[in-house]
Amino acid sequence: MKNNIFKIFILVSLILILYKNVDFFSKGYFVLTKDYNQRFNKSYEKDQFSGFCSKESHGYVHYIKSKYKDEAPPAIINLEQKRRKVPYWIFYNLYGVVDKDKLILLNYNKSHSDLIKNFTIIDNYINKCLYLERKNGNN
Amino acid sequence: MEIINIFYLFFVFIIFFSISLPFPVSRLDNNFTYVEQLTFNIIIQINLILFMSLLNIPLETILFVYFSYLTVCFIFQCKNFNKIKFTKINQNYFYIFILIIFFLICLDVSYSLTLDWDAQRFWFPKVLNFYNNETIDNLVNAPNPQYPFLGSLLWALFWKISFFPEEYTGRLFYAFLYCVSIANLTEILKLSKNIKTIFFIILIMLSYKYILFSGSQDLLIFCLISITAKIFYEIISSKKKISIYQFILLLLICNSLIWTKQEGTIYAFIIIFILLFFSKINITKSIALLGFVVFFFIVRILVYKFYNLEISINSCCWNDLSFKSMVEKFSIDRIVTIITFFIFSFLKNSFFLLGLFFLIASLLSKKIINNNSYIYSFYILSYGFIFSAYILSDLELIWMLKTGLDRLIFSVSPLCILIVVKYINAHNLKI
Repeated sequence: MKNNIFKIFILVSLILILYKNVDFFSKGYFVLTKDYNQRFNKSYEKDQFSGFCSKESHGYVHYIKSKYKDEAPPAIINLEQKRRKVPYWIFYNLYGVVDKDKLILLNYNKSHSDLIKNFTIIDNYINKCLYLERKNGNN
Repeated sequence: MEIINIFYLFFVFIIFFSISLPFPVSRLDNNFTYVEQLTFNIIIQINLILFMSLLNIPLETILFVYFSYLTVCFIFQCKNFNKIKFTKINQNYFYIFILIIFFLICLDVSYSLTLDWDAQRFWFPKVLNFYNNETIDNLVNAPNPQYPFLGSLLWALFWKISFFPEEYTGRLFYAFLYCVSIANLTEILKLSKNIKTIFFIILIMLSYKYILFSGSQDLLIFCLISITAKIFYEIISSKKKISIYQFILLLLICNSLIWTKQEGTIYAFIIIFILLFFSKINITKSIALLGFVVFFFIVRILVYKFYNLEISINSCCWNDLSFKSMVEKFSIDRIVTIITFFIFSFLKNSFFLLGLFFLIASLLSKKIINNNSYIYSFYILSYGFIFSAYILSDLELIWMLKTGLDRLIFSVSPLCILIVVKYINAHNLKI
């Protein structure tokens, strides 16, 4: 009997250590209180290759997806000097399917202003990440 | 909503994988524990799903056939309901701990969400191909069509049946397989269920990291090798004859390895090689094992050829495999760099350190565990393969080692646990 209580004590302690290591309670609270979009943005803000509107900018692309609910993903150009992956996968569409009349510019600065002259700005995040739609009649 | 979805998926996994094929070999047996039965059913069902995908069937049709299959098997199982003994399920609370651990991992996955570099670049586009109801012939449009797709297919399938429409729900199957394969490995301990449960939790504590669940396929290789490790122990260490159940399981594991990652094919052949040389399998079964694995490999090549998918080995990293170039790559600098990274990766791998600790302990107690040669051979061959892959690579060596070696070492690490198990079983530790 004593031996069994000891084993159960060890088991429960191990489970608690594991929960502590994984930070179960704060993560559980976060999952319960924040929706998927908020959690997605928060996760990629902590990612060393991404951020909301920096590096690969998963957060901004996801924000555009959830706000405008476009069927096909817009074309995405990352203007950062360092070569970055473009996270088309966030739209859950087939690889290579892109709506060329819409454009997301990531890490934009004014030196690239001729890129946007044929487009209307639909969404602008601190002049750094833009969501654009082609003006009628311009190809 | 998402928490409910996690419970829903857990019950889906438990129900689906509790349903066996209506053949004697796969029915709940007195000698099988419930975890062993789950493991067997998982391997059978993922091979069935894979087989259907090879017929160029879209995912929704695969799901329909899969549900029909489960229904037929379930009806058959119900007919024999009185023959099924559930005592082993009720006997202990081991399964409650599996649920607790599974729930913990699911929560971490649903909190962390990020996909790693490989997953975003290679594996997730294949998931999207299946999720959007395209078939394998459309994989030619995805990046790296030469990569196998079993992991992506399963990810897409379980994402599809989840009622929360985000991709991470598909990855929860990996969490389930991870828990079951480690629980299955603990079954070889000749100790009470309580101690097995403690051992199970320790193994999870030592190996769990979110990055493993961020979409890369090394976790699947790890799980398949965990299941193989148990069969190795039963056949080689315990010197038992290979049963029909183990024979089928081994073949299906080898097939799954071939369709999971490029290096899976090499691991499949290493597994067969170890069995041929270290077990007491008779010559007919040995030839059959080798023949089937060669056949599976040829089927993979033919399927890729048929659907115009690339067959080349990893075209990213080995462009020049001429003899002259290979000799040039074998420089002292490169060898020392790879060995240095290997040492650091071993030091970061808890299973390896645990295995090493128990190996030293067994040497010190002068009760040297003999019959370990199959474990050493497995590692010599696996690490030899990994070493060759790196030394022959054309990409920047240090970058490749930094980004890939830890995962590769992790994926073959379950056999180290056999040293621990053998020590505990051999010393008859009364805990």
